[in-house]
Amino acid sequence: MATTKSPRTASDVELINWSALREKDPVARLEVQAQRASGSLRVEIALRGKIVAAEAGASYVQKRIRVNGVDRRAMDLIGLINVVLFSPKDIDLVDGEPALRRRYLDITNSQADHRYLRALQRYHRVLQRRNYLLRLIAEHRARPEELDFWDRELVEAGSYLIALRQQTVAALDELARPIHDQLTEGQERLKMIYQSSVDKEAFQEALSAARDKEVAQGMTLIGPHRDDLRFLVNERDMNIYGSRGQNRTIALSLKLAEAKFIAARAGDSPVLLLDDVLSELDAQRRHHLLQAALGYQQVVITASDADRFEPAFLARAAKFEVRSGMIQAL
Amino acid sequence: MNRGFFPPAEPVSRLIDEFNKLPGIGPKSAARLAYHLLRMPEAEARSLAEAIIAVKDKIVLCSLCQNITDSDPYAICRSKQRDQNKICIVEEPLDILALERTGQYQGLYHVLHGVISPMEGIGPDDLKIRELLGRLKSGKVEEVILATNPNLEGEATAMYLQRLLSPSGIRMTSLARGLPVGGDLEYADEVTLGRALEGRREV
Ligand SMILES: [Zn+2]
Repeated sequence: MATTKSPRTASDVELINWSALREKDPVARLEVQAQRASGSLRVEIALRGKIVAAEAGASYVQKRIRVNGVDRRAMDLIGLINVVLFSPKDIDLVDGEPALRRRYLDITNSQADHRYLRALQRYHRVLQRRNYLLRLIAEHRARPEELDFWDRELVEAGSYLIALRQQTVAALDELARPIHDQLTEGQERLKMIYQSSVDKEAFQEALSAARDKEVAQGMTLIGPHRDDLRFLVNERDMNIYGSRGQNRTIALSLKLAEAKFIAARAGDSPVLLLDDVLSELDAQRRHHLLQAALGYQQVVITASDADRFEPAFLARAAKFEVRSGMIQAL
Repeated sequence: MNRGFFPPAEPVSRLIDEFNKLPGIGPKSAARLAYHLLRMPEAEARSLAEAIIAVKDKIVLCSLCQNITDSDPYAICRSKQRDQNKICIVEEPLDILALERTGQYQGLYHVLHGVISPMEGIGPDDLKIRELLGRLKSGKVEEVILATNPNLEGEATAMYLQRLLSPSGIRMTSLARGLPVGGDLEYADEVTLGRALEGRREV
């Protein structure tokens, strides 16, 4: 709902009930009522499947988005309902590829700032065209001077992205540190660092210096698309040295910090979704996580059995059971 | 069981194929157009066919502004009423129609016939820029208005021209913001486009 895409499925088609897909007009509907500081919101997303039977997998989905009854583009929905989702897969943020961490920062910044999203889209369009031009120059089908415009645009959008990512990482670092202290009982000192491939104040100079190399390789070698986010615990790089348990806890601290970060920027608290994460934690960290969760306005926690929760916590929660696709209040 | 597929008679399917090649015409619309022509009176059909041949036979590029025309120079270039001191640079002939509809511009035009686009391998040398430089040599032109589309390719082209022409000392302006970003001049309404012309700024 927050992004108009499902985190569970790669394609919107999979959101429609499988047996309904074989009917003439398969549909799926989702409606959310949200209370924000600025007023109440009703968001509806309707998916209408179109099946092209001749080619396998050629089915596609028409998406209609309405906010308070008015048609909107998917882009307008970003930032409207803020959700922080934590799932077991988030450990990839710490020990996976840099692209995952860049994507994470881009989504976090876009949720809080429309200007960031526009700069990001422009950056990627410029980058794509600049890479084409580098290859044309290598083939002597274009002159190096033709890069001037694309360099200027890359620097303008790119330094904005870097500046905002640096700010966000600094803010997340500050928020995550005490949370991580609490989860690890002071055993692990977390530090997050934005590692840029270029000094944003000297971006143009760096591009000029890298030009020959970039032409030879046919691609742009510096810029926010090559940057990374590093997690240090007690000054050791967790992307290299972190254990599964350490990295899982870092991802959790990061998400809890993100919820506070969005709350501060958006003016009201996001919904925190903790999807099936309790089973992955030891009793001590589970206890501290549930304690921390009490500090947030609305938290939805899913678990495969209720034993994972402490009775004191359960007493303060609304409980629901999902059984064969139906939800029932307990 | 395959019940077999019987295509229409050859001249009809050929016509459908030709329509299908046009922009915005899918196979269904192509078939609808072809059967519409079949029902058309002979004289009307002939007139349409002749009109199609005439645009290829009689239309040339104006030697001055590069617009498509049936008489060189194009009417605007010949007109004594037009302000010979201004040249408005556009991407495509259709942009001239859009700007003329505003009724706000009395100068001359120059059509580039494209825009700098690395993804399509189109560079400055593929545009009608040499022809533009030739026109500016006369020294009569005092203002060049860069009216390329407000998207990356349009901006890249405008910046290229700006750098190329700045040593000449000719005043250079561009349309005011307010045109939908990423949109085409061709689709902007007259009021918006008129306002963009009125509020043009030095670059
Ligand atoms: Zn002309």
